[in-house]
Amino acid sequence: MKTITEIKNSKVPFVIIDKRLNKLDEEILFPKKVEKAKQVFTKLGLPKK
Amino acid sequence: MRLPKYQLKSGERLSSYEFISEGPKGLIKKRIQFTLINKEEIYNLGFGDVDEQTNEFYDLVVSNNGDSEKVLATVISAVYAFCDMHPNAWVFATGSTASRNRLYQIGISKYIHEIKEDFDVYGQTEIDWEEFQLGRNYLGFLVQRKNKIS
Repeated sequence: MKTITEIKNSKVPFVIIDKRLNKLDEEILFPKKVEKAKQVFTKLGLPKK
Repeated sequence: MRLPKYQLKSGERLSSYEFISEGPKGLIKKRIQFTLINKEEIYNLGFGDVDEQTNEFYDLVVSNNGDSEKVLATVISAVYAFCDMHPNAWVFATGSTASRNRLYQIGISKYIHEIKEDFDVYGQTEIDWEEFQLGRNYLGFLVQRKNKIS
């Protein structure tokens, strides 16, 4: 379990969970951007580490 | 990041977020969504304003509510939250317009040293990916968490 200090200094933010927002996951909010992103990765793949 | 940021709200999957921008133009609801685009755990980061009258979504405008740095810090914090749940995920972002892409570039450049403490950061060129470099113009941006967030 994290200490208060660790929580306070963490870069991972507190996020309020609101179950009413579950509905946002039921649709793609940015369909054009998702399609564009798919094209980018079809063309380039992932970076070579 | 230790910068001021807005409070994020999310559903239980931590894939879609909302926050409220406050400024001279009033309260503007904003949404962020991480959408899986292929089996390699690559997610697209989408971000835009919500018209509360129509519940329509706009990712082509720059709302200019005087809080761009706070909004940017909030979006970056959403990336931290999402990647905490999905430590192997790649997160891709690009602006819907050239001006929005330029804003993303400026924001990433400003905080790149801190971001690179926790993420590998790549810029998209016409033909390939490269490690993000200051002063270069990129078409899109890709990050993946390093082993452990500080």
